Amino acid sequence: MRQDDLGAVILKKTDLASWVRGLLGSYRVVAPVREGDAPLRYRPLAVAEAMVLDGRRPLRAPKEHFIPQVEPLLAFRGSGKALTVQPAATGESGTVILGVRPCDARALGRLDDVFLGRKDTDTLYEGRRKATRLVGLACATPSWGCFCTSVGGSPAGTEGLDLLLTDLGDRYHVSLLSDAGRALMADTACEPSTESDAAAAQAQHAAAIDRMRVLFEAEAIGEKVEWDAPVWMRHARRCLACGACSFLCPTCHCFDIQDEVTADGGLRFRCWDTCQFGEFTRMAAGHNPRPSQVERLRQRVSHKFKYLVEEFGRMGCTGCGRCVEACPVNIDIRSVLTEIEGGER
Amino acid sequence: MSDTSHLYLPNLAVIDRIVEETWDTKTFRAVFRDEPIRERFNYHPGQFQEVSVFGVGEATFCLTSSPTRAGFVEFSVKRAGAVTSALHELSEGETVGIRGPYGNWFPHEELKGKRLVFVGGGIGMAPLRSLLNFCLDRREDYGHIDIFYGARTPADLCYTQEFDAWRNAPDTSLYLTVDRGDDRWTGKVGVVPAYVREVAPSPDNAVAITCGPPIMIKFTLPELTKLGFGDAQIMTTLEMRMKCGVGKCGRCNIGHTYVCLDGPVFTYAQLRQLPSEY
Amino acid sequence: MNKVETAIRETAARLLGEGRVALVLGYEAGSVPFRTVPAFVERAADAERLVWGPFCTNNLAVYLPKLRGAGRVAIVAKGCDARSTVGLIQEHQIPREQVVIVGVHCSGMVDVDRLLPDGSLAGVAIAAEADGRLTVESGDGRRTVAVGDLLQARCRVCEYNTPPVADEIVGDAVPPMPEAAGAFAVVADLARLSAAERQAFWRAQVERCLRCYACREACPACYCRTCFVDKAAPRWLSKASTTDDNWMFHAVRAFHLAGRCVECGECERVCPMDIPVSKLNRMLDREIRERFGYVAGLDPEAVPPLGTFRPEDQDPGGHGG
Repeated sequence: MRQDDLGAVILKKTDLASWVRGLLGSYRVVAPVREGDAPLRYRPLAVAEAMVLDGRRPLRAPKEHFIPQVEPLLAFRGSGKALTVQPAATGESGTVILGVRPCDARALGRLDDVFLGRKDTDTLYEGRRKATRLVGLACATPSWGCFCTSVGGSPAGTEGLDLLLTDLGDRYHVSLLSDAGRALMADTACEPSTESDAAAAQAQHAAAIDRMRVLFEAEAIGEKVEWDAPVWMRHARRCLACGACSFLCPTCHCFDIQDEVTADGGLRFRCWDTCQFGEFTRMAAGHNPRPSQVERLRQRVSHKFKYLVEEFGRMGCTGCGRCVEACPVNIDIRSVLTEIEGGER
Repeated sequence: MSDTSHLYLPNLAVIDRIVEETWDTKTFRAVFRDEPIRERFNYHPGQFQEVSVFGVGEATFCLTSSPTRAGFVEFSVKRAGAVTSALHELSEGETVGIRGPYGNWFPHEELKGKRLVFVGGGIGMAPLRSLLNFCLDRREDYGHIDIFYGARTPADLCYTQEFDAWRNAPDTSLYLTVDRGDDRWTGKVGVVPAYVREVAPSPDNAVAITCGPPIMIKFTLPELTKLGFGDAQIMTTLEMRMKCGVGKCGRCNIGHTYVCLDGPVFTYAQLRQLPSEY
Repeated sequence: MNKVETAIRETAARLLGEGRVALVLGYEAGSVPFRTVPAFVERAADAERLVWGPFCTNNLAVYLPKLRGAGRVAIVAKGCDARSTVGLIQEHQIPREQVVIVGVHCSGMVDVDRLLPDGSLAGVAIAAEADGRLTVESGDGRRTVAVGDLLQARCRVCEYNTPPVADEIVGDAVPPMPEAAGAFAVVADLARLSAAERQAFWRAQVERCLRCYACREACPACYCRTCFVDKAAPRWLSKASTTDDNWMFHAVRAFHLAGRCVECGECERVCPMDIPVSKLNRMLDREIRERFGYVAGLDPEAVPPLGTFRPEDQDPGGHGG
């Protein structure tokens, strides 16, 4: 957890809606909303009142606002000499995402490693990243799959955030974490945070951290990951090869590129894909280097805890716990890692 | 408005020649539509491209032409799935999209002065052809060249119209073989690894470059090793399912190595460091 | 521990010990008290791992096609799972002789989302009481609940909580589920809507579909090696998660399941976006019942109605609104 060098302010809950309305005047504001029976999802707000900040972290991560499930890359028209291609726009209007959990903000840094760091810059991702400010919400209660403290994170982590809100009952303690964050609070009626406010926020953070046990030493796990170990078969045997874990994961980013034909031409888009699907590495002639769930589970865990560490020095997991909660057959990555750390069960 | 170009935007190219190599393989020659791109476009033997048929999709193909022959690019396509079938339906004059060049390349600078042993099977000859013609176009830079090339039957051999140029090049030997002959085949019959064993090229100051079906590689490697080629003296180019070609889509990794960035060209010494996934 | 659990363990140990089966598919403890996981038990000594309780929700028949030819398999089967197994036998995905159906009388499975609707399940402890109640201890305190009050919707209306086909049966007979007569009441409200209203309802539901295919993969009847959505040539629909393509996926899958779905409800349970997938299948199943009088998964010799033709089959004719 960083020091809030820029200070902190108090935003009364009665002022929350008007603050958000102010933001709506200048930005596209995205926040968790509930639509019918659907689970909480980060959506553009039409009105401030639609926002839901209570409860546990939403099951669907805000990553879809940086790598959408489907993203047009280009449109094409005509054929032969008359064929023209128009690229999709890279610009993006200013956006503020409210209620970002610390695990998700940290996860965006892992996406940055791939889309901005590894060799060429993905300007489509970069445009959205640069145009977006992140307003975090500290977690008071972990969800049952959460394990951020086991991977170097915290329910009150500030990495990647412009502001961090801590719910103190009738008001929010707002840590100012960047100049952009401070600017977001500039036109709002809020008082400076007092020492007792700061103490209350810290107490809540400490209590939330205490609610989670540190399960393993994630820093060292990369070296313990073994190629031929029974742990993979033990857990992968029941894997159904769906994409629930990857699609909900805030650091997973694999994609496919496909073409679509329309009446007057067509478009090329990219869409989410996952190493857990059987087709992912299968070549046209039929050979598949990862022919079963055993190889695919090994890839998933090794990629996140070994290969990314070897490449960037950082794990590809922030312990959000969504994969744990979503897996239809309760493949719990915490169990897999605990086994890897402890050697043979 | 900001620059609209991005990583996944192809250049347009016109197909200006199609050669039917075999019953399921064609070689396409393409010329970029935009003159500045045509002028600027450069690549190294061993690199690959993402070629697309608009409306069908993109697929990965190695460059089979040599950059010493400017003004066009060539790629060979074996009909297997949706995109390759769509390419096979194209006629000369039609337009495709091409992104690239991507990947690393055969280290032709380091190969200067060395003896080269090419060992190709079937369409695996495609990336080797790029390096081979490159070296033949700069013949004085390289030592003796042995070319081993085989296919299942004579009808499966590609690049037949170049065989004379290869066998007649100075200080160059061409060893063709087929697993099964036909009525008109008068050449060698037998598998490529056996031919390599028979000819026994020397490993002194030599590098072997091999590409072909997994079964051929599997039996060629031990033969080269027995002849004295060290792992760093044997080079190959890997085929993996690739999509973006630029290390973002996450599909082509072997351990922490991305075949589209750190490959597709690897020595066997490098491959032994990687997880045995492939 | 409960009597049924003991009986399952004894049955598994006996079948394995006698060499009658090479593998027992059952349930074992999950990573948290309110989940169990599919267990693959190959040695009699490991039969101790098997559990039984109100969290044994997975339909284990989904593993059978992949186990074909791998020696005889015993499957611990609730009524729904047994019907799925019968369906796979009907469609030659596993030979009858290769499966030993260990049927279990079932009183329904807990809907985990209703266990602590307002609280967090983190750190929860669950103890089963002898009278079929559960004691749940969480950060918010302690409460005792009746399993019957927490059932998944699909269990409340289940018509076959007694396995209709089984080689052995474990446990005491149980009464039918209280709402079994209303198996199609859950879709009655949809049936009353106009076609346009229904279309709008479903489009609104599938708009949030991620195309993770958890529904498809959890379904024992979806065993195609290459699903229609994964075919590139011909390309039936797009991989992109647009409402149109999502709807096409769900609608076509529902049609592929018509007459074959046993309403186990796993598709809906596993959906991370809470899309009422099972409701769509149930709507089509209502049509199948009305037109063909056929119930899936009851007779290993039968052929599902959309896989055959009889001259007396009802002519679908035109459709009203």
